[in-house]
Amino acid sequence: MAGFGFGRGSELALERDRERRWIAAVVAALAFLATLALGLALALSGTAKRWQANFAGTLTVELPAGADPAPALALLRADPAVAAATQISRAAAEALLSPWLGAGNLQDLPIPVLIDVRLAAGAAPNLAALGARLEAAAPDAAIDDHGRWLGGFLALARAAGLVAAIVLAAVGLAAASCVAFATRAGLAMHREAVDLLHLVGAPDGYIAVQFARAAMRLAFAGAGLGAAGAALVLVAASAVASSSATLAFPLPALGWSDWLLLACVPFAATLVAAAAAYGTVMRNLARIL
Amino acid sequence: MIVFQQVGLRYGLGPEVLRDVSFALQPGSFHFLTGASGAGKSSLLSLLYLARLPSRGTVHMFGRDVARMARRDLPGLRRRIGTVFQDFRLLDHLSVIDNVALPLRVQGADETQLREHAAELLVWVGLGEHLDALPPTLSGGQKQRVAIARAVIGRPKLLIADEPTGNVDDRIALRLMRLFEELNRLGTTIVVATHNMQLVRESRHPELRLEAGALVQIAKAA
Ligand SMILES: Nc1ncnc2c1ncn2[C@@H]1O[C@H](COP(=O)(O)OP(=O)(O)O)[C@@H](O)[C@H]1O
Ligand SMILES: [Mg+2]
Repeated sequence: MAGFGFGRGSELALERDRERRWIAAVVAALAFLATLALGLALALSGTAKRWQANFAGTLTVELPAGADPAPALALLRADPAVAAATQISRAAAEALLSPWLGAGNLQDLPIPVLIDVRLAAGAAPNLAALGARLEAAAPDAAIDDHGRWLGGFLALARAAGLVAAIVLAAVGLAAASCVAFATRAGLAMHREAVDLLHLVGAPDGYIAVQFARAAMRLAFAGAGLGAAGAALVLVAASAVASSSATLAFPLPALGWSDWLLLACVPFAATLVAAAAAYGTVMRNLARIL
Repeated sequence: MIVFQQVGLRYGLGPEVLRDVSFALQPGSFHFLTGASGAGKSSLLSLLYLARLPSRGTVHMFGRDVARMARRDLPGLRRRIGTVFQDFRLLDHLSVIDNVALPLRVQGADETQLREHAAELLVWVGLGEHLDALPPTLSGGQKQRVAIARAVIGRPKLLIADEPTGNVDDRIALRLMRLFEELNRLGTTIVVATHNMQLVRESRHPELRLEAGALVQIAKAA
């Protein structure tokens, strides 16, 4: 028995119903939101990962401006956990600071002495102990493992990811509810034809598939449009960000895998719509004979 | 094959439109269902073609109690039943051939075969020239023949017709009866609701008569 009746049936001619085209518009708006939220979260998490990779295994030791770096350098280079320790030249430090402070304003600034420390592979030194020994050798030395700052950024990226997940769930639920609502309306509108299909021996699935297909068509068109719009916004935002010199923030750029994930949004929306329509029909038909 | 026991039917909270209806139909039998308009003929037929369940009593179809059947078994049972509805119930946006092919298509039958079969049947009922016509362009008599072709395409064990002679002249009514006789000779169980008493009198088939929702007699014509 062809229990599921997939495929050919199109007796309900649901594609002709103009009454349910608003579904495409709603799904477009929802897909726009979902894609935007997902895109921003992916950009932040990508940036956080890149920075984490850059900073992994490095420390910066900071000495007061004008201090002699030699004792600190000697102590660091003697430590087995340290692979290399190099002083950052004043020129390099100025280059690091100029995006924040503007070039040319730095000549008279008391720039601290910075030592870039690369840790031996796999080393995890006790920073408190190292800090105490440094303090003894070079008063007022401070160790920055970038952890606090990076930790803040990672937390931000994680929060953005969480928000995106919540947005996606809410948007998916909203889309499913809209499709379910429209499907119930469609069932009522086509009640006579649905009854006839039943009476000539159509299983519920045969009818549900027709509604699922109609919902998929509308959702795919809508979600494709919405996601494309969001992609344009993301591209435009990153173009604006990269052209603005005032942004001293590493660019939240999307990699190809991120774009691939974003491209899944319309397909996910289509699946959600299909499942919502199919489930709604099956549930509602179970209540009639 | 079909057994009604103390069947009652009401619509919503309304009064019972069928009361204590009991009868049995043997395989291959031919019955008329008679009664005045509003007596409950269409309601009884709707129980027979499994559009609804009785409010009271039991209905056995092909050996199964319809009230205890799993939902997934309904389509299979309905496929053994062909119905010519009083108002035909053709799908207006589907061509004549697609309307006729519907019962096979919902079973997932082979598309070429079902079209061939539907076309053959339409030739048989004299609509060979109208395969691709849409129902709204047909006359009442033509629509009825489409409805009959659709009712028999699945080779039903039980053929139900609700006032098939209501909208056609006597000549066509007679032709229709001959058609049902022929199907009956091939083994199909037949129930025809009608208030055309002349038709019933001229036939040798027994009559189930409804009066205000009660089955008052099962008579064999002389
Ligand atoms: N869908 C329905 N809802 C409510 N009452 C109905 C419905 N169908 C029929 N009836 C009522 O049931 C009674 C029997 O009707 P019906 O079975 O159509 O009789 P017949 O076919 O003999 O004319 C009538 O009183 C009619 O008003
Ligand atoms: Mg009637």
